[in-house]
Amino acid sequence: MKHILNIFLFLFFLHSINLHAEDNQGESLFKQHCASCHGINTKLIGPALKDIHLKYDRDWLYNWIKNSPAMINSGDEQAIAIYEEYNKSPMNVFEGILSTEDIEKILLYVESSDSGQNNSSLGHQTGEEENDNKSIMFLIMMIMIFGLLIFILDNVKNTLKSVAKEETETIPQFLYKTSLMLSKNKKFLFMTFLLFIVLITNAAWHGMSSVGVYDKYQPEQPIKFSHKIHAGDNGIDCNYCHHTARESKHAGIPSANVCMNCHTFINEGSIDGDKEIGKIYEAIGFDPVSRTYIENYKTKPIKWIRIHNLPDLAYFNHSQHVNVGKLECQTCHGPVETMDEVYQFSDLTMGWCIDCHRTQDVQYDENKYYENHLTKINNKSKHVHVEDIGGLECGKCHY
Amino acid sequence: MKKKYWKSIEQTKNNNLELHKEFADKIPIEKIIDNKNNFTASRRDFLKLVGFSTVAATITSCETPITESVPYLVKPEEITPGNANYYATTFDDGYDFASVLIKTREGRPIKIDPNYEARSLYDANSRIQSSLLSLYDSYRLKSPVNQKSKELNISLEDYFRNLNFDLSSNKKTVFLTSSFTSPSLNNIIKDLKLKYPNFEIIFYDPISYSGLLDSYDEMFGVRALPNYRFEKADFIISIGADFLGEWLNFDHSEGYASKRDPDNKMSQHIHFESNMSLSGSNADKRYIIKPSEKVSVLTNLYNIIAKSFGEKQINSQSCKYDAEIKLLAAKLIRSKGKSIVLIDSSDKNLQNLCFKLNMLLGNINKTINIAEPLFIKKGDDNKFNILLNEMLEGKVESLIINDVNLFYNFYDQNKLKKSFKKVNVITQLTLKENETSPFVNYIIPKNHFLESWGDSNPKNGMYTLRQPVINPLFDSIQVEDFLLKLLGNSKNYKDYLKSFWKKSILQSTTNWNQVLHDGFYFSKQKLIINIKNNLDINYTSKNIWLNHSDGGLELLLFANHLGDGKMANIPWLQELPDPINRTCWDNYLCISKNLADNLGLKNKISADGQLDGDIVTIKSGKLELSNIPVFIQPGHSDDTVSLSFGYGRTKSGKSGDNVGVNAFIFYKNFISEYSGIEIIKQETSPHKFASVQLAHTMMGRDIVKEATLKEYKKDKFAGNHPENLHTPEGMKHVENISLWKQHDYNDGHLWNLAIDLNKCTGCGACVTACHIENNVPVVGKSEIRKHRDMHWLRIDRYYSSDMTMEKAESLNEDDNPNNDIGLVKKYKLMEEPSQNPEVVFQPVMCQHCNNAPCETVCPVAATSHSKEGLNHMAYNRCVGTRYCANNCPYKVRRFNWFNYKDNDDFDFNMNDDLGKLVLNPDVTVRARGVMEKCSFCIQNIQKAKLDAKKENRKVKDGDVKIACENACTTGAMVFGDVNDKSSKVHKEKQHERSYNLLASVGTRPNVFYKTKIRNKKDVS
Repeated sequence: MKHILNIFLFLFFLHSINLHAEDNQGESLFKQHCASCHGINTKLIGPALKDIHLKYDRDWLYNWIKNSPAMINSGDEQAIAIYEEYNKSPMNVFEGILSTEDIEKILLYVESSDSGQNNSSLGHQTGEEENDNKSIMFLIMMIMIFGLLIFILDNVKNTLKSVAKEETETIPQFLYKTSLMLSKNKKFLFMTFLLFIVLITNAAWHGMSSVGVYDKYQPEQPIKFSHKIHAGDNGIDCNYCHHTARESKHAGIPSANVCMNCHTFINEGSIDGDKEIGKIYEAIGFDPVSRTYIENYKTKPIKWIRIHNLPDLAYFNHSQHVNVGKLECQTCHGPVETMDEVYQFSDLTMGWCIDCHRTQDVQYDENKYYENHLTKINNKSKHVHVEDIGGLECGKCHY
Repeated sequence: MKKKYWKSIEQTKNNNLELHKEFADKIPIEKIIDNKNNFTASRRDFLKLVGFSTVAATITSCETPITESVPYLVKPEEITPGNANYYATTFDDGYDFASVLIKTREGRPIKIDPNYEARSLYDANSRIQSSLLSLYDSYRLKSPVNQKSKELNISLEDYFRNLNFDLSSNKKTVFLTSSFTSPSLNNIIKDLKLKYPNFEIIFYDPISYSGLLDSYDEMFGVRALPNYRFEKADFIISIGADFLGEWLNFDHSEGYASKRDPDNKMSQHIHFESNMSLSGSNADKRYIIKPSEKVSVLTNLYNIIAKSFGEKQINSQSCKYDAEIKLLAAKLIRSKGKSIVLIDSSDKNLQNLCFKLNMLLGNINKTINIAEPLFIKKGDDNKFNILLNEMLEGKVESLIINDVNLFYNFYDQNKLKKSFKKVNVITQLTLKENETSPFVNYIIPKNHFLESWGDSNPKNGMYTLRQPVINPLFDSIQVEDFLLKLLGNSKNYKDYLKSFWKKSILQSTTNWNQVLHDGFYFSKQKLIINIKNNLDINYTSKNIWLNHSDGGLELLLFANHLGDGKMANIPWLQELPDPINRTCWDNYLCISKNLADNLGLKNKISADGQLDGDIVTIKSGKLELSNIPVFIQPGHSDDTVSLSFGYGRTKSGKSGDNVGVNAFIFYKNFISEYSGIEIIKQETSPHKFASVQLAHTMMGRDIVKEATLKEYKKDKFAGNHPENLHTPEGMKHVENISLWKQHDYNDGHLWNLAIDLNKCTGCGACVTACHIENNVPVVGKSEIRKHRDMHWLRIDRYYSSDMTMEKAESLNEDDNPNNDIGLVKKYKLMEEPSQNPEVVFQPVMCQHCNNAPCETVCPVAATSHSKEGLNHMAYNRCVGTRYCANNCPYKVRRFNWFNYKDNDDFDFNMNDDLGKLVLNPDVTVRARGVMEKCSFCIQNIQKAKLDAKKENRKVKDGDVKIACENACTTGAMVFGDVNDKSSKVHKEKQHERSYNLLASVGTRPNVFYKTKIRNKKDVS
């Protein structure tokens, strides 16, 4: 028995080490700095990087990546040839951004992905699903074992009783007897009834207060857009796409032309990327083969499903919170950068708003708006909460 | 003795038993039950229904609603969803003119505001603001119609391909249009005339200023309207000209109001008129005359002044005000160069004489700006009459009608029908079908002004641009493009306009984009105007009396806020109460009380607490107009009745049709005065008015505080003495007595609104602005009749009474017991307006009391006070007890008796997919059962604060513009933060004239008023 346990433990460790090794720094660097212009197997703005280590010399590559315009100016033939080939669009300068070690890591990643081993995230996902199934199986097993245990113990008890010449009773007999006895006990009946009422009230209360509360709401979107890949893996700032969050009451769903800033060139992804990116092209009328917009195309606007729905009677302004209040998006929207499919993180109830307004500090010293303002509150305590400047008043959100 | 209050004049007059009955008629309960035979729902049925509806409601409420969110595919650079964009453009429909700012949200226009930067001609009155809704009118024509072949929905290409008239034929093609001042359109027409010599343009104004235009042409050599500069006038005499109301449709009120400051050489305004107009009610002294007496007033005035200047006198007749006219003439001479005399008349001779009078008084180039006359009206009665005759003679091949609705506003419909039949092809360019449409061959939908490019030259030297703020909603074309196509020019009008401006109007250094951004351009190139002054005084003397004969009972036609009736289908305008009569959704025959008594006509308060009026027919020769309700108007001439234009439309749309009667029937030869009228009482059940104010006077209370200029000069607190109350510690000022703990306003903002009653003319632009900004629903006539109007802001009107508190007391304390009038009679007399009452206007909105009576009685705390002095109203918290409205001393809270949105019983713009686009997305649309009221446009306050925070600065004075204040071009309203010591409103609050409404109640409002001061010097 002990041996078997040891083997299990060993296998588990092995598995975790394996996972750790797969966590490739080169991949993330590649995605962060290169992927917007280069594909591994496809041409984007820049050339495909497959077999790049065979075509060019390592030192040349270091120099080129760090400062390509300098190489072109110095008259390097290879450099000029690439520059001419790609319509004289220069590559970004990475001097000071990427160290030689970083570049080496990226190149190693490119070499390794040449041989077609990728999609680690896919494997990871199925693994998770298996884990889920396993835990359910485990539960069922446990229930069965305990049932068996009760049965055996009962049998043992009865055997012992018969040995002791006592009156034996089966489980159903026992249950019947006890319930008969309890049903005559008024106190018990009263308590049960009370408990029942309390439970019902409790359930009704929670049921009622959750009417119209849709946290964890996770509708299927017309395009399987993954915030995890964009905001998480590739580290794109929220404000890049949702830039109106700083200026307006709406954070805004980015218009398709914002997608096209990158997806003019990036037209394939790891899982369903090709299909899903194709949906943008279909909406806006872009031909990915010739890389041109189709003229007189009848565009098909994308109908996203709105997840965060505040009722019309409440006024909420993103810029007030993001720009003035300097809140992080995640405060209300949760760890969006880890979500493949976005769900509503907060319950968006008034209680939730108010709780935050009671505890959240105002950017009091930083913003000149508050100059000579609310001096009394300022003297009272160092912290000025939203509440102190009237953040709990009805008319601040309801008009 | 118990006090007794009367509701109306009628009530005081007779002790009719009907008045003491609580219900007019027995409530026909049996009938109701009869109508619903199965009135016997069993208990089981009831339970079934309750059960079913509860389950249904629960199930539906639990469902997660799926809301789609559709972003732009390619977002326009200037649009940020959630933020408003403003565009400067020009409103110019031939009746009104203004340089305006359009507020758009996500590309749809939601508000029209004055463009203050234009410095001139920016007054967006109620009509101009409401014109927004005509964009979203579901009655708009969606595509061209060929009525000849009964072919609906032809395309514009079809129309031009099969153009059924020949422009180059030797018969005429006439472009009949409402007035416009567009230089580029004029250029297109010039080209058309060059190419087709038989092309002609005729201007038609439904309410004509032809006489004045001709007179100006004769005196100053250009056919234009005079540009009066009231800001330079110390002494104003108006003879029937309602210059603050509809006369010339030009923003005179700003200049006028700037001279109504008692601290700074206040002007004096004398008004002669027959009906009670907006200008008359603002006058310092008002004289009642018949319309035919205008001549004698002017000639007498002229003669006295001519005599003193040694000029030739003219024929005159004595009139009842000769003694007063002498005084006025003397004062006119004293204020030489600083006065204005104006007269409303379609008679050229009278206008000539009036200009001559102003010349003698040295007003030319001082108070009348001759160098910058107004071109906003072009109508020519003679040319139009000639056109009609030519049409009858068959000389017209084709007629293109632009925005003219002849079959509504031309008096002789028979002649029109005959002459229309003689024209080969008639094309109508219009926003929507109207009364004229059945008589034309083609109806072409025209772009709304918010969908069009354009320009205008409203006054000499000023040019404005019009730009589209939304793509055309339907298959429509703008007039200019239509004419360019006729001309065979392939250019579109936008490019044409741009190149025309660059060539002809802009200086080479001026940037087109800048002008487009500003919306206006002042050019140094001006028409040079020389005073002609070749008035033949003998000719005038002979002819001036020709058209004016005193013929018994006279009829005066006038325009109110509905103007010429073009916008009758806009429910906002219909529901805006007339500033004087406080009645909406109607026009009526205004008559004086004496005349009504003589004719046996009555207005009475019916048992449902509203006004009922007798119905009459007016007749003169062959002309007859029936079913006109009678409205008894204090201060009306006894020998005159008056009726307003703009009503009685039959093909305008769901809101405008069959409201009132069409007064244009009597607008014979474009003369608004008519003598020899006969009034016949119709024996029908009385007309039901929808009046929002039935009280006439203030009943001796200090609601509007008043003083004369003389009193004010002596004592700055005249009429506004501090209100003290008895307390156990002796007399105390109301500000020092309170049951309540006071709010702490030492920090942050304290928003206040100042309303200067001297500057408020009562025009109602603020009411409309508030209506539009805050998604206030339109409730319709029957609801208004139940006093369920929803206006957040109302303008109360009070008449003065001959009986005052002081007078009654002095009579009662008199030694002579015969004079004792007693309490009942005192109040009875105080309720009655004088024969010629003084009028005051008072805008009243939520006063945002610091000790708010509404807040203390709300059982659910739905209305509460903010740190910034605002009285908040949380609609979603309100359960509709209406305690707050009952406890409000100012009666400014409005209750939503129904869902006014998506409700067929309220079939106005909110029951209409297109009409709903006008709603302000920042303001909740209220549901049934909640209370609402003025919020001080809290959405604008919050926005200004947020903008300041975003820009890392303090809120500046003037950052917050609330809708009413922004619409008020006279500057009567000033909004701001009184805690900001440099703000305008802070200064206003310190002023001696400022007071709180009903201060003795102790509510301590954040709205304050400034005493009304009248300049009665020398004339009272």
